[in-house]
Amino acid sequence: MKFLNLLKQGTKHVLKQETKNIFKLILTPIIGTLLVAYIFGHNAFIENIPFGIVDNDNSTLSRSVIQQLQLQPGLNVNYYLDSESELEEAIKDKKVNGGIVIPEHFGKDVSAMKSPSALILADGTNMVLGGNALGYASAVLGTLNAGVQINVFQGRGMLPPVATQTISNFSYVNRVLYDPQSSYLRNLIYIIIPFTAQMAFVTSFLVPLLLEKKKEFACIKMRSKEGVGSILNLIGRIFLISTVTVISTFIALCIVRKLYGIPLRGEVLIYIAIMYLFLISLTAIGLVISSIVNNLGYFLLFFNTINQILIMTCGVTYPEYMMPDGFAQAVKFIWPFRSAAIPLKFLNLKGVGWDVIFPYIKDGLLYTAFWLPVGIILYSAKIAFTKNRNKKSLDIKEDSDGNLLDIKEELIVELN
Amino acid sequence: MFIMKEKIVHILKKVKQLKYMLSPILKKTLRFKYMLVPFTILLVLPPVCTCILGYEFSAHSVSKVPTVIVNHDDTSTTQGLVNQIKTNDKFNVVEYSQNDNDVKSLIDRGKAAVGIIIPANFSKDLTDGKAPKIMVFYDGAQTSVAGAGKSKIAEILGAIKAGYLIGIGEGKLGMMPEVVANNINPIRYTSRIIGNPTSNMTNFFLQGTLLNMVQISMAITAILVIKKGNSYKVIWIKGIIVALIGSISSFLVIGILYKYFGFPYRGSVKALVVLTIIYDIGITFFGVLQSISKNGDKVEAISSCGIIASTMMFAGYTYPVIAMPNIFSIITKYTPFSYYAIPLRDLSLVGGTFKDILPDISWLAKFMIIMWIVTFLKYISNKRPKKPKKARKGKKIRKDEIANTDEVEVITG
Repeated sequence: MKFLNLLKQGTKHVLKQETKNIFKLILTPIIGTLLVAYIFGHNAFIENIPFGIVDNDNSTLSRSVIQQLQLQPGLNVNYYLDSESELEEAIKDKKVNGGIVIPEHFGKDVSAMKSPSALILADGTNMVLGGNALGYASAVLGTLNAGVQINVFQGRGMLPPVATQTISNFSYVNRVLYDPQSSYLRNLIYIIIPFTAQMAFVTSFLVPLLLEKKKEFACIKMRSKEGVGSILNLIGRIFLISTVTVISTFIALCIVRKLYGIPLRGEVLIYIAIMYLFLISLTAIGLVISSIVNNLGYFLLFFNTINQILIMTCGVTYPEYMMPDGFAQAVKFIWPFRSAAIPLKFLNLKGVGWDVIFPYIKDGLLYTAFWLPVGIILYSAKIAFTKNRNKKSLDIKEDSDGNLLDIKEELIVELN
Repeated sequence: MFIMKEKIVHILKKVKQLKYMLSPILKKTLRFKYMLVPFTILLVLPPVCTCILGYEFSAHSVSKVPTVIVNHDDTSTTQGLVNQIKTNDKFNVVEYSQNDNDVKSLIDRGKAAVGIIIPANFSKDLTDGKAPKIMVFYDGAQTSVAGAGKSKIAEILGAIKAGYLIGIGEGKLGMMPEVVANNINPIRYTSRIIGNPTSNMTNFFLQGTLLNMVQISMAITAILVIKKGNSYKVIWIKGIIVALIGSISSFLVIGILYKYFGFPYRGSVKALVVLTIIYDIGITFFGVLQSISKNGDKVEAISSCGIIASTMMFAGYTYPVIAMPNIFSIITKYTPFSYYAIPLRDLSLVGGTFKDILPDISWLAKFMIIMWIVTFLKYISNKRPKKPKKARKGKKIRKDEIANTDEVEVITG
């Protein structure tokens, strides 16, 4: 009964201390995820790409090519120029992101079976726009080419249905599993969620708390009632905020699923396991960081600067097997983001089970098994070192519980 | 042994003397630790990050796409297709199988990004005109890898299709070999990608990502070096110093990418220098503004700098603005990063002169001046004594709410 009362009191106290962080950790992943979904989820396809035309032929066929390009929804044919160099300039000036140059005698050469070649120019500085413009334009030319092929075969005495069948006889079907539209949103959203959660958890809660506790622990005797209470308070706060983060990220996923049709296929239990393990791993490395760093400002500068590296190296934007030897292993050893980002994407997008997720969980467990003891040892050593230094330099008085008297405030000031 | 001991004692004595001599300098230096540490981080960290990311992306474009092939038709036609994929550098065939389910299973586990299923009797059905279909599966969870595989598969199958049609032309239609190629491909096209001929994705996003790191770093450094009691003159000088260090950091980033990782820079160096310095001053003063606005609360000020990281997204640096909701076409116009990183990418990939980027420089210069004016006005408004809030009748005022005023009576609970 006494224990239950203590637990109740402790929980109340922790909730009171962390009210601000609870709101922050609820709102940050939800707002961050919604913003990204709003931006990337607006259009499944990139359409209306400004496209230029240089028609040096002005024949029926060249006009037909232009008409087909105008009908292609991916392109916005809005610029007509006189030469290839003008088109190139227009691309450089960002007036268009792509264009086509139809050569002189194009129609005539097609009729004479001279196989003339059109030139498609694309903006390489913006690969997304340029690449899509190139794709759309080549699809139009491919369709026209098939049409002319059928005419050629008919001209050689083939019956129209046979000619059509011959042309389409050799074909293949492309299927993109789990994300048929290859959307930018589905590619990114599953890593944005642990990313925003990590950002808020580490910078707003974990490291500030560990730095604050470091100062507190340096002023109290750890084996006293106050010391044990303070450690339990630290564990309770980390557990509370971790739970809030797991719930809030899940809510964020549910919202984007509802609003943008993002798949949420895996087991919730696996999701919880991955997220808790990720947050425990972050706590482990957080202990290491806060044993080295004393100034929160310096840490925030450091973390905010390197933050994007964590996304770029997690193996989602660039495949792990393309990285130099040992690179992925080094990343895995230093920071736990990769062990959460990839399994979360596989789980939610593919709906995979424990068998696929287990290697990533194993990575997370190994990471924690190494860094948590290292973190605890370094953190404790730092506290012991600070205590020792202060004992040497100050006249210390202790009360019956072993707590330091009078100088607590001065110590805190000095540690700051 | 004795000589060694004597030598060590001598060295220790010398070190002690040196330490004593340097102690006043060290003490003075430590007084500026609050500036030296952020300056060092700003100067060193982005170049280090450049080395890490440059090394990571050193292979540039994606190749060796893990592929699984299920071939149910063991004929010379399909063997030719399999061989073309096997010998192509773009693919790495991780498994040959006879079970269609292996494609899904390997893609599920992330072991393959492309799966090809050639149906049974493919060659026979092709000859009989039954239009058999090769199925090509891509892993939607590995977009960059699948994308690289997709274009190459289209190329290989396109070539095989052309070969097949040439066969038809020569066989069924009795065309001459030298004529048939033009006949089965009456309209051809070539393509040229301006500024990035190899479609290198790294060239597309890496520079901007790293410069985004520098801009966040500069704004936070400005917050860390400004002290609460600093005059505007001191704040302004500190802001300029931070921006200049940030600019050096940016130049190092671009230089390292160029020298060690094959990232091109084809534009005018003068344009790069002017564009970077003006932009960096403007962004640094955004940090200064946060510092002044939050009245010395550095953590709060740093938190409000988070928006800077999003400017890469708002500028449409990787994802085009035309695909975003309409509101972003307006937001982009007021996002400084779009007047810096995008012209800089153009300078790097396409080339260009100082004159080409004058409109961007002009916009950024206005932004910089506006930031100076805004920070100054905010500084002045903060200096003015604030009127204390009137307490509502019957409401007790907490001690911390009026900690900065001495005009209201303190009522403690």
